[in-house]
Amino acid sequence: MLSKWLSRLSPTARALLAEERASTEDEDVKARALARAEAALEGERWSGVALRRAEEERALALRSSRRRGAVLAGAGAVVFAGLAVAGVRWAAVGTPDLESRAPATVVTPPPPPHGKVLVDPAPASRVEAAAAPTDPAPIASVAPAAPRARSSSAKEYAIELALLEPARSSIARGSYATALTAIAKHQHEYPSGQLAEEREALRVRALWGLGQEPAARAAAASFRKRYPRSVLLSWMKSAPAP
Amino acid sequence: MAIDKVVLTERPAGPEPAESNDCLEVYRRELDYLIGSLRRLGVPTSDVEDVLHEIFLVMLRRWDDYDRARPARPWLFGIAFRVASGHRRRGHRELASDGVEPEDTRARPDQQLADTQNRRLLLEALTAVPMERRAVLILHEVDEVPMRDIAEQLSIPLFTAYSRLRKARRELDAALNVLVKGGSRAL
Repeated sequence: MLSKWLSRLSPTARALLAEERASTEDEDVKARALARAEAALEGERWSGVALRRAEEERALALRSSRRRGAVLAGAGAVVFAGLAVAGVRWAAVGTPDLESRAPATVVTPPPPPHGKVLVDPAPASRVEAAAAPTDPAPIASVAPAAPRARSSSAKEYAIELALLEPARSSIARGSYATALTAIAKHQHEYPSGQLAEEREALRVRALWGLGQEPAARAAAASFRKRYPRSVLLSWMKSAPAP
Repeated sequence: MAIDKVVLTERPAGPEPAESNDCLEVYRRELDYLIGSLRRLGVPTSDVEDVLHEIFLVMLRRWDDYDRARPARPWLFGIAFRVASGHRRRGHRELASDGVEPEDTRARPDQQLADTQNRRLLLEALTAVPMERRAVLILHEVDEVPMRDIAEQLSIPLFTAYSRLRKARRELDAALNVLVKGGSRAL
């Protein structure tokens, strides 16, 4: 008989296997795995910001600190996960051109995820409205962060990151409205924090994702004014004249 | 210089956002299964997270090949098996070094607390079953996949599947016998 030939498992083995069938895994492990997967996806997307693992972040943090004109005490001593430009392939794309141009054609915005149509998809080309932003998204005035003790700065960075990470992952999931809530929270707590630039980049991305084009353009314009040398949102271009 | 006209252009994309969201969703839904499978396949606790992420990257790469109408787990188990095997080949040892000590000295303390003693016992005993046979054992005894489906999934004849199951059962029981009763016979 097949079952005899197969030789039954011992009662111990059967009991242990039954427990194994019912087992679940560590919640922290799962949460980290998801965050890491989302970050990997984000690197593939055109969002302009991405979370990177702490080891990769070191070099980027140094680069970004030079960009901001601040000096990180003890170069390389502070290691933290942070927001950074996503994807090497388009760090080189779209050097922002700061001159204002004549009205330009608009390229079709990307389809919103999940098949939801948030705004009537633009036809292939249309003439951009020429108005200057009338009511830019409220942005607190930026003062360069005062130099702080390294440890408290790193701790605050971690807090800022914890505030902004939901925004980033919401964008990754396509939940742009949720992202704006997290962005507003960070704005409230750290209006000119170390991640203010990333926050504003995320804001542009979230508004764009929501299909709020005028608001997105206004936020983008403000962003360019505040951070003219920023490599974030490098996918944004000024349009050449037609 | 004032910028009042900015155009947001679409970057040539990688995977479609909707597609990769689907992949992420499957990953999220099956995380328990994936982690459990990796552990049953002998990946040490300290390596699980990295190997798990490798699985996700493979899922992304192969997402277009995956027939969404079919159940995910057979596909996922295949990926897990290949990635776990590759991990071992690269020299990462399995949970047990000599199979006699039930402690996994490389598990993080908090992970040790989270696992029941029974679970650790089973995972330790499983390492005594060679991978090819262990796959059949896990699929049948834990994932409760019918033998015919296992044979198809692993692309082996049905008799081979049964043969592996038979040997694996004996190997598992022998290992448990040693661990539970503290037998002196080394695995």
